Amino acid sequence: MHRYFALVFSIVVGLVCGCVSYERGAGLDWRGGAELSFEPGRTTESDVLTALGPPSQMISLGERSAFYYLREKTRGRAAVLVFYNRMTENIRYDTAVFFFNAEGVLTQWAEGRGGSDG
Amino acid sequence: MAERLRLAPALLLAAALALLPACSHLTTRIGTPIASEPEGLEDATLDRVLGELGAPTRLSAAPRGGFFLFYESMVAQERQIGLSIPIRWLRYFKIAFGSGRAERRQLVVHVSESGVVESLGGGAADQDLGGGTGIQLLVSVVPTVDIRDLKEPAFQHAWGRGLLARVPEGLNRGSSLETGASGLEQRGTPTRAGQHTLEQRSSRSIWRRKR
Repeated sequence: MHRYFALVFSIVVGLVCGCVSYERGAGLDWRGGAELSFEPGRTTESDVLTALGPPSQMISLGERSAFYYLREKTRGRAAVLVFYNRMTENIRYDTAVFFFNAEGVLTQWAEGRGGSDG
Repeated sequence: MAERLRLAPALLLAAALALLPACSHLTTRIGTPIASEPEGLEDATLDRVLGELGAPTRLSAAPRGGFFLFYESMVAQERQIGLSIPIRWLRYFKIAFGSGRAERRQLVVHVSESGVVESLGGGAADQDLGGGTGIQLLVSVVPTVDIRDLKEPAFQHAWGRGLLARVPEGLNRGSSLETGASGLEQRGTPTRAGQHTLEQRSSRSIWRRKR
């Protein structure tokens, strides 16, 4: 019985040992692989919506308003070696924020430092 | 006797390997590392702040005018030591002792209506996340430190879902710290005290419950 259990366990160890890699995303894929190019003072809310689609969040900031675009990307790596196991998970945000004045004209915008490839 | 002394290190190593069959190191990195104390941004314009720091992690209107930009990044690590007793079937299990720490960086910038920095402040902290003990199968790697509150998805994903919140949360929506209209909070802030008290939330996050 003990030998049988040891055999099964050895098979399980053999199957479980190894490396794992996974990747998942959450939120809008707003960038679509395009380089962003907007001109403050000229670009309007409508231009941004046409180029990027609906934002993840629209925020009223008193006299201004802001569109916030967010894509969350998670990448995981794991090495399960039984005697030593290592798991690493990186959660990065691909973001962009656009500020508009009361007339709906872009005043400032910026991308997040996470970068498009996260 | 001399031969025994020569064998001692090998025996000690063998004993250590028998008793420490499974060490685990779990790392979670959230966000892009930021400078918690950037220089020269006092009285800077919004253009310059965005140029230096990029888009914030979150932003919100400020109650007394202007708005807040909030930047946050974190590296959470859990280290586990697994002990196994090499006797019969017990050898297939381990007792895992784990402890976790998080290196957190935050920066909040208050920008006035006119687009100039009114105040800013940041900090870096090495936070103790606690520890835990568990009996696990030798070949498994299970966290013993609960960091789900720190890893929960960004609030922005659940922005629209807030309209379908339970009544206590819906009634408090006007003061919610997740909509960007009434302030900000850091990841992992307890929901059973402070602003969230009226929402009567459970210990689990709003995002996961509605998923």
